[in-house]
Amino acid sequence: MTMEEALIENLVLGNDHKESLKKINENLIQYGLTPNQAKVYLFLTKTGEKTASAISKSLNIPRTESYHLLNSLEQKGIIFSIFGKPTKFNSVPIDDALTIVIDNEKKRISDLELKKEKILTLWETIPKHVDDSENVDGNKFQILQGRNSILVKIERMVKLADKEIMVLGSDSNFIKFYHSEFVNLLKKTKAELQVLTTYSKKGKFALDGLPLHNIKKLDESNRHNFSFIIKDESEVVFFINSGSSELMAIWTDSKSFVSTLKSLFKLIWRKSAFVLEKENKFTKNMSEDYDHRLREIEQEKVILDYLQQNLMVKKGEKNE
Amino acid sequence: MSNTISPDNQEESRLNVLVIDDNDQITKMVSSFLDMSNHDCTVVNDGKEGLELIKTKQYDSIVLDLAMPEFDGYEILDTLQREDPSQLPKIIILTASSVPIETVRKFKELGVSSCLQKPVDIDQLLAKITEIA
Repeated sequence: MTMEEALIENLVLGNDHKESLKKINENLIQYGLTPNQAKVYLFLTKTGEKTASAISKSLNIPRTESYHLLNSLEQKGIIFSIFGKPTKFNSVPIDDALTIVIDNEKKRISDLELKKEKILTLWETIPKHVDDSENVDGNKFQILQGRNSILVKIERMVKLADKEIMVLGSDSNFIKFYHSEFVNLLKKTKAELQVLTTYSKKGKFALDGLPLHNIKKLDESNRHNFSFIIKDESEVVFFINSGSSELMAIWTDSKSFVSTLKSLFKLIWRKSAFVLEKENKFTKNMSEDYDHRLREIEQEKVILDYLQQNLMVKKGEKNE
Repeated sequence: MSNTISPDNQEESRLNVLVIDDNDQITKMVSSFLDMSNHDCTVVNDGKEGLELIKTKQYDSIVLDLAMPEFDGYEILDTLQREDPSQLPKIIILTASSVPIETVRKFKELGVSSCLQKPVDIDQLLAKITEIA
């Protein structure tokens, strides 16, 4: 290893930045890069243009693999080659690179959506060998494992609900879905929405924007460790507290299960109180305090004027 | 409807009004004009005391402030609603706080008759008191 390479390695992979780089690397993987692609990209972004050989040596990656990695990163559009001999590589800045990979993913999803229509059209041309009557509603269930699969299901339920949506769960459940479309969909739904939740000071931000007249507060006696979402009278997702960090839930369209949970929900809803925006009860900032006091004084003045005016009237009547 | 004081108020139209407000200037003055209007008025400056009176006595209407120290109007409504949502007494909220429209809508759903922001015209307040009684 040359002195320059040692310096580079220390700069890029040195202990000072190891943790941060590890975190960035992990995040880049979520953007669709492999661990080694992320490593190469970060190396180039930090150190500037390098030959494949230098990259291979510095990152301790076999030469053939480094060519493959550089090729795939170039195809993604986040690194580029520089003409010359030997060919050198450099990266596009990280903010541009993230935009590029996001756009790539968006395009991939829109391609998948287009393909869906094609597959369905093709499927229609294939004769069926299954009797539709076997597909009876009301007896199906699915075990949903992981946040994403649960999210896909509950978002779909909210989108398709046309009569009512009942949600029971603590704020911590909502926080898990805070960065998703779920709460936004709840805000937009045309179905009648009823949310029973703990509405704690710390966690209620996750429900920001939901109309308060749709939310009731679970009191202490009803803060059981269960959560569920009911769509119309047809489907329910029931969260399972498995003790592991991974979210688990059961989806079912079982009529008896749905109606049992619905009755339970209605019972708790009846006993619970609406969430009242208590933040307004004691205005925190000075200007609001001032406005509050001013209105009180104005009210006192209005009453005094009224009393004075009516006393004058009475006095006048007496004199007459 | 103008509801100025008239000495000819009939005994049968005499209302029993409870005023709950921590501002004793307001309660004294409201009490005076209700008295001038030939209504019976009970005033309290403490939320808990007000809640006890609501639970133990019958009032034709209740004028309730929201922002009060220790036990406020929200807590009174919350307690009444929890205990028996179908039996909420006739309540007029009279508050100097800014109440968001969503909360006003909620009050209506709870059965609150009216939500007025101070300063309110006395004729209007009297009209509300007699209207809901």
